[in-house]
Amino acid sequence: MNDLELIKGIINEEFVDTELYRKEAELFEKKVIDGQRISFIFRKFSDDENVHILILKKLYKLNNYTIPHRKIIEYKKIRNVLRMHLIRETLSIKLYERMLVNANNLKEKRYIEAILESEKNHLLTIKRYLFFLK
Amino acid sequence: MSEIVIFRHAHAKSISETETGLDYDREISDRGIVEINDSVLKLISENFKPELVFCSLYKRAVQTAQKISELAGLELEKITVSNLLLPDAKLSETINMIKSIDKNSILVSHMPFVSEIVMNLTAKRILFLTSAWIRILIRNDKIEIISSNLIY
Repeated sequence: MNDLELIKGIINEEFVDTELYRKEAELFEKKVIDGQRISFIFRKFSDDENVHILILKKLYKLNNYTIPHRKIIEYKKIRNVLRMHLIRETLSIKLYERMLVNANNLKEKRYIEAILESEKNHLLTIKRYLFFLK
Repeated sequence: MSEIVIFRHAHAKSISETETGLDYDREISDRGIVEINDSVLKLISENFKPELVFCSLYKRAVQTAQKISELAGLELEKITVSNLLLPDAKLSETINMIKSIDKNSILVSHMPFVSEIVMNLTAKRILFLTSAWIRILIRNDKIEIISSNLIY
């Protein structure tokens, strides 16, 4: 996989996360008791992922790149949702770490580091929720 | 014409975590650093390019300004520490200062002062979470809100 394919792949995954977090935020708000808090967090995560897409497109001049349509599997149970995000966020961190190694200039490095921190925070939050569910 | 971003400082540690026991010395927390990252990334994704950053003298505001500058690729010399952004500054003087800024800038201050500034400029009552911002266009006497992040 070359750099451009890697970047496009990351953008595609970020888009899936954007959609998942948004839909789950709606679901939790309706179905989970006192679900407003987790719903708020998931909406923010959805916004964050969307910002990552915009930054990546800007950074790598991919403004015209169209994200391919993909069927997204949605889980309804909160534990399954969190487990799925645990895996997705961990993978995402690995991909950004790989991107960081390949970063060519300071600006690119700075932005990827910031996105990486954002993803690490998502993962930490998901882990906390999972911990308190047990 | 200039674009001004009114930015509330990032989440800070408690007073008991300072060496001096003074509110002034509260530093930004780990959570605050993540907040700034996300908040500034959103600004950058909107193609906002700050040329100057202003902040109050409080440590958490200065540290927020430094983090913003770092991420936006601004030199630290572009940060101006201003008494007019202190929580107890005189609002009319701060407003005059803001209206006189002719470069795209970010102003880091505190609650409820950031809300008072926005109320005065836009007649909108807004609450800021930590690291929240509102982006305002100032053109002659016309002021309009362009976008925002984490406000209520």
